[in-house]
Amino acid sequence: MNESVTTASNGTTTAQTKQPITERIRELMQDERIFGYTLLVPAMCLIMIFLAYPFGLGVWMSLTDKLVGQPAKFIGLDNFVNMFKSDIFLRSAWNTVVFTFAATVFKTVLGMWLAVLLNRKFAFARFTKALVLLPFIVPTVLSTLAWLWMFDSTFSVFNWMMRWAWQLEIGFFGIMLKGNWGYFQGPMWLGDATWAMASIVMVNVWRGVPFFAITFLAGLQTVPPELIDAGEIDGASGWRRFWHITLPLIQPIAVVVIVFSIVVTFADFQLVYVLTRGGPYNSTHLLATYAYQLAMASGNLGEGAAVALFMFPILAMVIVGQLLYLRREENVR
Amino acid sequence: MFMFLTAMLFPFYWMGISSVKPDRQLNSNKISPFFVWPRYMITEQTIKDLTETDLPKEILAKLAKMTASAKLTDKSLAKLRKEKIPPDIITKLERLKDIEYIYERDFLSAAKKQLGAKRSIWYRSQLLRHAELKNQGVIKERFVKILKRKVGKKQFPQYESTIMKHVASKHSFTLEHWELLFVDTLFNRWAWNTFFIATVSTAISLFAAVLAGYSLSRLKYPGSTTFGISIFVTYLVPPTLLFIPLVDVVSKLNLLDSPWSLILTYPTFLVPFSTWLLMGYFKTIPKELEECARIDGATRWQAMVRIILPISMPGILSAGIFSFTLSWNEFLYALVFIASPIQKTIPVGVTSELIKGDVFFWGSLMAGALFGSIPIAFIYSFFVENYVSAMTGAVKG
Repeated sequence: MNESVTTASNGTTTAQTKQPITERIRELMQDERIFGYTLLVPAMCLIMIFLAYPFGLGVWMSLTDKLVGQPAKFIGLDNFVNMFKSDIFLRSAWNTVVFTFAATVFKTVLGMWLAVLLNRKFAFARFTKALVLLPFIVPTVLSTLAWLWMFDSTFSVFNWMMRWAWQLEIGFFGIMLKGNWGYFQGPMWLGDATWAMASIVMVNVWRGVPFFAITFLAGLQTVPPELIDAGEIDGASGWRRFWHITLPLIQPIAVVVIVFSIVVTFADFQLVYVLTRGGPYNSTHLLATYAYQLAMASGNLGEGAAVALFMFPILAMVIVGQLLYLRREENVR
Repeated sequence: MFMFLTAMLFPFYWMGISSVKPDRQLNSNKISPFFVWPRYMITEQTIKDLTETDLPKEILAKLAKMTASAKLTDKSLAKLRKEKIPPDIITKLERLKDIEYIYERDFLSAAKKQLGAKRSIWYRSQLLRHAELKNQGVIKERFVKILKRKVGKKQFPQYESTIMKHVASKHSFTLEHWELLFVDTLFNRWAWNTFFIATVSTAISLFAAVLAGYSLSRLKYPGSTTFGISIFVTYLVPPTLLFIPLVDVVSKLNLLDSPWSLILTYPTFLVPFSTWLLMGYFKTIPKELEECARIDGATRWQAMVRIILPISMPGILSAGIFSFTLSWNEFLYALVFIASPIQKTIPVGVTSELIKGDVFFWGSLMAGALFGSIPIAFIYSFFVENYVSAMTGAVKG
């Protein structure tokens, strides 16, 4: 179609034969649709090559028995069947659920508390806000290294503090009581199955609370003070005002933040890898670290892909649930 | 409030303190770990100062024997062999055997001469650990005990204050861990790698995200909402899912062990997030601005670049800073795609090179952790508002 235009104008002066190409492009770009699609090209290229294609490849890999350096053979759902029979996998799945649940609960409660505290007026408010956000900003691996040292089995700060407090309390009698019983060791933070899980939850909560607090704070600041004052006039106590007035108003933001956090916490790898690599007897193995161990340490790419893929439907369900919930909320309003 | 602040900031204080503590204090269970203990020792200067005072000569002679000294014995060499110090280094060190050095520092400089300047710091620290060191500086109580033994319990109370006034209290605050980090490891290279990768991948993803965000939020065409939702969904495909097939893709592109593997794969999580953020920003700009520009004869591209982009600079800045932080922070892809030490980024390098087997170089680890976080904290301190708006914008949008 365009060809005929240029050939028609070709018969005229030579100056016009060079223009049509750039002119053509410029005219095309004025069209909203073509411009729109063109702008999407860079992003789509990157996503297609490095996200969509690998995702498909990952799905295909999980249906084969691919090992590193060997060609893959299609084996259907065998990987998944073996996966569900494997003890380690079931333990990792359970660990992931426990970890996500515990961490999210603590982050929500503590984040809300911190947000309420930050909402008041006090000196250096902005500076404090910036300081509080620091754990979230700093690279995860590096701050986790500090925690690794703090949890060290022999030289842990926390154990030292507990021993020091113990000694203070008992004092002279302690020497008589402790005597040959050795001295109070404190929990083995990363060496004991339950304590290891507690430690990783602790570090995740330490990292995540600032994010929750800041977003909750933004939500709290959108609550019109007149409503709270109205509640006060009607005789509601502080806690009831919070529970019945503030919370429902920030519910949409709270739900989004919580879901966001669940998705990220579910796939958390760095923390566990640095602290315990999977922990004493697989007690802190998450699905992510187990997939890494299968794929990189054992070279079993097929099974690794299967475990990694297992995460996706669960996440998808959570997200879809949240979207539906939000849409329902909007319709209600 | 105060409780929260201490809890949040304590690990950073811990990182800082541990990176300047000498090894002996790091690996000690008996002293308080919260601060650096000053060391007490008798030096030549102390003896000189004490001759001026009214201290009796015998006591002065006894104190002179206490000056810091170091000696390398057969036992020390055996211990070093067990530590798997290479045999050529051991032969070099044997030349120092049985010489008694009056000062630890002379011992160390003799060792440095033997070992050569390159890679000597690590070996020197091992050497110090196993050499016989006398009075190399102890905490005050222990020092007083040693003094009492030397001077005699009866005479000590008389001369205690004189002696203690001139005793050199060497703050054992040390920079040896930082030295090890910058000289003996490839930390400088890692820092450059990380910075380079973060900057270029942020640039690429910002370019793609600005274009895509503009297109999805201000232009109408069929499929724009679908694309928008698909971008949102791709953000939620975590790297822990994709890294296995990505190894395949990256190796086919021949990019394994190159920073470009990271630069091209980071946009997979940077672009969706930035697009989402920028869509929210672009939506707040009134449509009239573009229409006015187009009526005045500007093309769509010119309208976008000259009118809309300058207005949305804060948003673009926020997205850029957040992307920079996210890519500095990234660990899994860097761990999987890069193998040779010279190409590593800071997070991977610090965790893999400073932990040899089960020997942890805690001081240098903490120093590396602190130094790796400083650029981010620095940028952050200038752009706090942008960070906060990026986070809240992402959640609200």
